[in-house]
Amino acid sequence: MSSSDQKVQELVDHLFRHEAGKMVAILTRIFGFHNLALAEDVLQDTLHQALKDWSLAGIPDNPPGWLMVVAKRKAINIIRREKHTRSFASDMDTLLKSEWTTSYAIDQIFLPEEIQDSMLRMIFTCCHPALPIEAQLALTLKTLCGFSIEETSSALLTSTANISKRLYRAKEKIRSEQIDFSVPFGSHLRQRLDAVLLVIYLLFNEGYSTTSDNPAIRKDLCLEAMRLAMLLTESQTTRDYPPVYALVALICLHSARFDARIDDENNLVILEDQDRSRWDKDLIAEGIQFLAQSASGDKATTYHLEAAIAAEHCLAPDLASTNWDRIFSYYTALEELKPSSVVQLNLAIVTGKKDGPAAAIRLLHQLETHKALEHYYLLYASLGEFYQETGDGPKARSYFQKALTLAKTPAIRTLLEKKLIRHP
Amino acid sequence: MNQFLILVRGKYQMGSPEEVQKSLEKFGEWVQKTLDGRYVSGAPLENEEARLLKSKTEVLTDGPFLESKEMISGYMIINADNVQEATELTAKCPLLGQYELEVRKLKPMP
Repeated sequence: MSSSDQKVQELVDHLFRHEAGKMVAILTRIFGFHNLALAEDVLQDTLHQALKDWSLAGIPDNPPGWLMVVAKRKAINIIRREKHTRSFASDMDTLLKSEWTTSYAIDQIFLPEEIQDSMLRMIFTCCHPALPIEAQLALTLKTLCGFSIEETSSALLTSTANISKRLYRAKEKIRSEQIDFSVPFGSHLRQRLDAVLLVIYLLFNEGYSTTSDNPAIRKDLCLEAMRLAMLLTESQTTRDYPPVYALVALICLHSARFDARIDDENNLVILEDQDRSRWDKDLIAEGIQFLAQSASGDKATTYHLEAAIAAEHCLAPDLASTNWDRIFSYYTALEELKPSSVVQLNLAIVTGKKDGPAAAIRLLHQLETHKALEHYYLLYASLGEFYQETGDGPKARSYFQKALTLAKTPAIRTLLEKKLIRHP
Repeated sequence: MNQFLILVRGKYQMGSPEEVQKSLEKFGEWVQKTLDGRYVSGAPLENEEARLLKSKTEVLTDGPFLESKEMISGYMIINADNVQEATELTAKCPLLGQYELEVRKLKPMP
């Protein structure tokens, strides 16, 4: 190939990562979960062949198609070579042992409509309630989202050794408890789906509410959570469950503000200072659409309420026109559904917006005795904020300073330092 | 102006999907910006179907024949003034790290 026709084609963002998740799911469907490592080897092999071949021969017309064809070919080779020494997925094993049926059986699994099924099986396996929640998060990122051990550890703010240990134990547990690589059905489905939603919610939260030195990986986490949640809205098995839409709505409505809440120097920008013109209007519209779709069930979940609160913020043209009464009622309902100190803290803040700083200060002081909030910077930052409003500068300052000593991330510390400068 | 053959050698190192994608994107940049018109040609090689002919009658078919570390899995030809320049250009190739690269000057025929 000459330099003139060396095509420099743009690859879709995260193409390899997303195709990796699909390929591992499909290969695991064929090989069985006990051969997850083999599936991961085939994936590595395929990706590196892509790197070499696409570099030297140009990017193919259909990159995802190319990857699938190559992975499939490698899978068939492995089965031919190892069918007498290795057992594969139990429901496939007989088909794979015979040369007559191997290709046909594998072709079926690689059909586009089957890919979703394999992904779902993987989601339900990674988010199995028998596994500790930290293991579910790590396993989901590693196998479904194509994260490396390093990326997973950076996303979950822990060491690589820790992640390796978690993954190892999780895989052992799946093996020892003989957890099926399958999509649950009947009465189990909803319960298992709730576990999946929780993992997606936690992944999103991890990406959205923590800020670290690595903002790119935080955003990736949010995008992955959105992608997994979207997958659930597309599958016939899972799309009739209203909380699925509530969670997608919540993710869209928060993500719409992702870029506006971080300034050019990677500092957090609080809601009132955010440039609302930078909010992603398309994502807000999508979020509202999903929220409407979520309203069909008989009960509101925490996802519904959190999405509704986010929607109120997103739809207010400016801070002054925020409907605090409605937000207050959502938080009150949330407090009933999932009583927590953090929700109470939010209730106090919203009370302040609604009824003035004195009411908020009273509630916030009551919360000071809560164990869970004792070391939470936001309680003291809020106190500082409301004392500022009443004109009590010295009190405000001392609470901001206390908040500053408790703030865990540089982004939040910078934010509080700015407040101290703003209100000297 | 001389031509240099760059042999892409060795078995790959592990990398995450995202890293592989980044390497690939950087390769395009390397060809466009660093080589800037000096890329002549290149191709990946099939490792499975190799034959080693030792004589008219002695043909080895069960390749690959070298340690996988030394196996050639592709080649490129680039233009450069001399081996120093070719080496400098190759040192910036994003395939490094994943592969070893051998730079050989093609002998100019008088």
